[in-house]
Amino acid sequence: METEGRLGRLSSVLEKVAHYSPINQGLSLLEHWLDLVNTVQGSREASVGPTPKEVIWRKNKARLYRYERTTPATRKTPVLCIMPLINRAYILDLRPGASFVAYLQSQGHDVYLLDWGDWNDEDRSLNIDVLLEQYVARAVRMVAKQAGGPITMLGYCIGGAVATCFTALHEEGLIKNLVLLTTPIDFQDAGPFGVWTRPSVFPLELLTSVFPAVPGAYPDVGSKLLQPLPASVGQFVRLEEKLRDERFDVYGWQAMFRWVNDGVSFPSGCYRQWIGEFYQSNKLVRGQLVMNGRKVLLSNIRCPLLNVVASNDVIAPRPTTSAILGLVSSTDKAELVVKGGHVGIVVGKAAATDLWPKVGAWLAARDA
Amino acid sequence: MQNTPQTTANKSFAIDPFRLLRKVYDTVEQVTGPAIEKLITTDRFARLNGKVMEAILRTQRVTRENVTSTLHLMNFPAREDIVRLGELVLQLEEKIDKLGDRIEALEQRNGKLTGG
Repeated sequence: METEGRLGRLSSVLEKVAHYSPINQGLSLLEHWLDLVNTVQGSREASVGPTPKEVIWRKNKARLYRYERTTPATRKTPVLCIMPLINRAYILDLRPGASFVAYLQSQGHDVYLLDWGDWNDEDRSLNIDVLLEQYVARAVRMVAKQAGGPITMLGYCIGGAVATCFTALHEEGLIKNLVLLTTPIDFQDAGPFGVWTRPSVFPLELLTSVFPAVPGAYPDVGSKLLQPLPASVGQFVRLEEKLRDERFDVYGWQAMFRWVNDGVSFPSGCYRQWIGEFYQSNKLVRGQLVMNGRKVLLSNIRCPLLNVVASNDVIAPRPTTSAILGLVSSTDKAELVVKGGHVGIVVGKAAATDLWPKVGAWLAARDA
Repeated sequence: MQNTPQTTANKSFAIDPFRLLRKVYDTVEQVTGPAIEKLITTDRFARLNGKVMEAILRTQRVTRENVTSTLHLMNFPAREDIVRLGELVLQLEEKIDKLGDRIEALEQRNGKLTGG
């Protein structure tokens, strides 16, 4: 009896201690900290790429996807998306409500996407010439055959430069429209990347001889160096703040964080060409770029062109992205300046209300 | 399997170390941000960046070469050997693709000749 009484008293004392404010506060802070850790760690498994798709062609690690539709396409011209070589393709189909692919589908287009896959050391001899000839050309032919006519090519970042070169080299009427998203073309004033990759300071030959496939971490570190504090500590400081708001889209943040940290390797042949011929020698704009034995002349581009640039792009600054309008022969050409950064304009909050409808309207007007 | 974090909805704490950290970060960023922005576009930073990369890459090269020679010494294939094998497979795939292209072109030509 006495022991039970003592235990009862002890229990009530412990209860009071547990409710003592500093302990509660400490537990709440610990819970908040754990939420932060779990949000960051959980981003590895964040669900991405929600739109159903089928593989219609494959080569090496590359896949050509056709996004499945529940209703027949109402537009004549399909859209083929050409992705950057160093990023995962799911950025254009990130999450429900944050999918450019799903938006284009909703506008009646058949949407295709060329996903380069995960390059490895055996791909070291691949350069952009090979990608154009063996990958893009076949993918374009495949999509045009399925559509029964010319297509819209939509290139994002380096994928846009690849799409531009392809369009300049192929005048067979396969490309009806060209849409470029934050695509660097003129490297005369390429911002910090241009300074860092100067031939006198950048160990390009060493890098590409040590790594047959340049690890995604290298370009990624470069991107983070552009804004070292916000891109490192800052993102977690902001996340902590956002986690206090119950309206915060945790899964959206995780999907984006996953993509940013999920870079792919760059075949050394492509990397050498991208840095050497594009960044260092600026051959595309100077009309000196030769691919597969042919000069890549931007003046050969005559199809309608929509050039989308981001106002605060630190990766591909305005001088690099805006130059193309003055170099092509297209009479139907336009530049769309969207407020935001390199990635934010494509999948950020404002994309669904700003960029996508404008691109949709431009494509609709050129579908006939 | 997606992680399901619980947001600590609209929580405020009597003693809030996170808020303090945020204030420290914001101050540091505000003070250093413009200076860093200028610094990273200087030739000096570019040169330093190149030298750091060079040092890392040279170390990587030595490590790779040592691993390869150790594996070869023990009669094991190294990464380079597997890469060469992978390249041969890719060359074979391209040959098949080229044959596919030629067959497709022939089919198209035959279709045109027969009016199909």
